[in-house]
Amino acid sequence: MLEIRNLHARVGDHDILKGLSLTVNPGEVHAIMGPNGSGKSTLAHVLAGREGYEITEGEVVFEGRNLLELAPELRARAGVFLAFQYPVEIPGIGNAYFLRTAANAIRQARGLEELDAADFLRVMREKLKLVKLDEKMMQRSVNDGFSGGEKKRNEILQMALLEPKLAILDETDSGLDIDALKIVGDGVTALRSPARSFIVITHYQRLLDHITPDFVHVLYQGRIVESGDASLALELEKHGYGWLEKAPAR
Amino acid sequence: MIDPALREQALARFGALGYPQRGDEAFKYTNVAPIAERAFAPGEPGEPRAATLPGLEAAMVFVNGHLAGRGASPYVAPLGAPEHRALVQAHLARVAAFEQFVFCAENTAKATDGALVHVPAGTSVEAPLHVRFEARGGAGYPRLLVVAGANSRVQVVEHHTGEGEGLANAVTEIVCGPGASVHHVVVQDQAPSAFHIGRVAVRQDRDSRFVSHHLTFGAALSRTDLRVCLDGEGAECTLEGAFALGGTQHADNDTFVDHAKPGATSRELYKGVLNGRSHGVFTGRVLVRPGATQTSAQQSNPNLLLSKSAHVDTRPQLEIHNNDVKCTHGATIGRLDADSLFFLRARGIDFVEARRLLVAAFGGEIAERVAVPGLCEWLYERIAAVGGAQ
Ligand SMILES: Nc1ncnc2c1ncn2[C@@H]1O[C@H](COP(=O)(O)OP(=O)(O)OP(=O)(O)O)[C@@H](O)[C@H]1O
Ligand SMILES: [Mg+2]
Repeated sequence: MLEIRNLHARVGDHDILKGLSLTVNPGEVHAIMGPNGSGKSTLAHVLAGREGYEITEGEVVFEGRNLLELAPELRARAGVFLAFQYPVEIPGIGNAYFLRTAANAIRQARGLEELDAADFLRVMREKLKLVKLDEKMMQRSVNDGFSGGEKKRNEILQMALLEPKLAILDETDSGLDIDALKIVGDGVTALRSPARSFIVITHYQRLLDHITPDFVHVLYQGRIVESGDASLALELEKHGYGWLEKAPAR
Repeated sequence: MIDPALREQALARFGALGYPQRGDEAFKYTNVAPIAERAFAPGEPGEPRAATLPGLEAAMVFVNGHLAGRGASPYVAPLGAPEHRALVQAHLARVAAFEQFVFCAENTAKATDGALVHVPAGTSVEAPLHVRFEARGGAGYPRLLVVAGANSRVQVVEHHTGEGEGLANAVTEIVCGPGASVHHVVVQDQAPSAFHIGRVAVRQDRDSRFVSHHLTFGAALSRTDLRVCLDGEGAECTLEGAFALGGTQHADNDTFVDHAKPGATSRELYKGVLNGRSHGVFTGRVLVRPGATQTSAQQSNPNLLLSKSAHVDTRPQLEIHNNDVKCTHGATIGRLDADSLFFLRARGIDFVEARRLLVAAFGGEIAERVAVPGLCEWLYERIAAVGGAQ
């Protein structure tokens, strides 16, 4: 599904990703962990198509297509979804209107009929249950005045509505209380399917208690330096990242 | 309609003043030479043919300043109607004094017909009163007088539209009696090659409330002056506007609030959205006179530039002559927020649609507060459309 080969990305003259490779097959859940500043969000942004990064080497192939040459909206329509580490507040655009516009843009790309306001409301109510957000919040502007946890749940709501093939969750667990963590975890679990893959960026084991990953990778200084199964996350929880300083990068 | 002696005076002033030249501080950013050069001949009368704004019925229609049609509203009459002679004489050319303003003098000298909106004391007019001025090439001099009696309530919607490359030089005078509430809306949607000059002069008596929404979409070159004199204690005005420009359009919005009496409040919010190589100008002059204690004046002019070549000049001008005043002002010039744009695109919304949404988010509130069902949505889309252009 996703094949990242020897990816190098920089901002200005600052090299951030320095030869990152990763293969994600359909249905797999990959957790990416790693110290602050190691390049996790950069990877997520590069995959989603944010401007400002220069790709100096390597390639990213998503379902046979060169992902890097697609505009962000075309990547989203191809099935890539990024749950933002810092969801943006957009005063003046109603959340429900935004969600419907997005859902219809994606539906159109998939050759499905657009949802009118009434149909959409029905679908939205269904998905709202999953993330336990109040319908009243949908009348407010996008993320405007939402608490940290509400913003993250709104990201999961968007994921549930847009039904991506590959979802990249960038620290969707940070800032969540225990109940919200469970909601997000259960939300992701409910969306798991043999056709849908996840890249879950996180600092903590606690989200992985809810979403058992198939693989855990350690990103360090722009490269994946260690990969393993779910037990690697437990190791990291115990030992931290200090050992990386000594370990030779692979 | 206009007293011959007054016309004489106006014509003399028009001749003496001449069109603004380079170096005229009031026209610092707007060059009206293209208007002077064209020396427009008077526009001909004609049949109305422009579309009526959504949610409204026209009470009166003018073509090139000539009366061309009227509806049934008892509150709207031709300016020349004999039964309103005394009322018109009491106010016409007195609220909009022309001595210092060449375009106003020219209008007063040359206006052919006009509309009078008269609301008797204590009367609330429920439906908005709508007057349309169509420009069809040549020069037209639209003229409107609104006299709202004590404790009356009315909404007046002025629509300037048309075809061709003519000039509309419009003057509107509004008298708000004690305790009156007037909501004035101007939709300037002239043809892309047309010229538009507008002056709205307002005099507010005590405890009156005046709300203005001024929406600028059309014309190659436009200049609008809005002058409000808060001439009674406790008067309140809210002046809001949006200019949504593209191509090579130039629009200059000049506002002047005169706090002449104590305890009055003014709030001002003008939003500019500029695409292409367009140029917007906003001047917000606030004068607080020595006796106007307990004045509250707010002003804000945020602008959004959508292209590298679009340009805006904004200048707040505060002249405060006493210490018992609460006054704030702010002007900003910004670009679309890259994070918001990426966020929307990352959800599958294409670039142009995302930009349209963000422009609507920025400027749409001005349209919403026009408070005419149907018209609000239309205006909202018109503002958004500047962002939705390729
Ligand atoms: N636009 C930018 N300009 C300059 N430096 C940048 C930019 N974006 C990222 N960086 C730098 O690249 C490095 C990686 O940042 P990134 O946000 O990818 O880290 P991260 O692994 O997500 O960290 P965290 O765990 O704190 O979220 C950091 O040193 C960061 O300062
Ligand atoms: Mg990060």
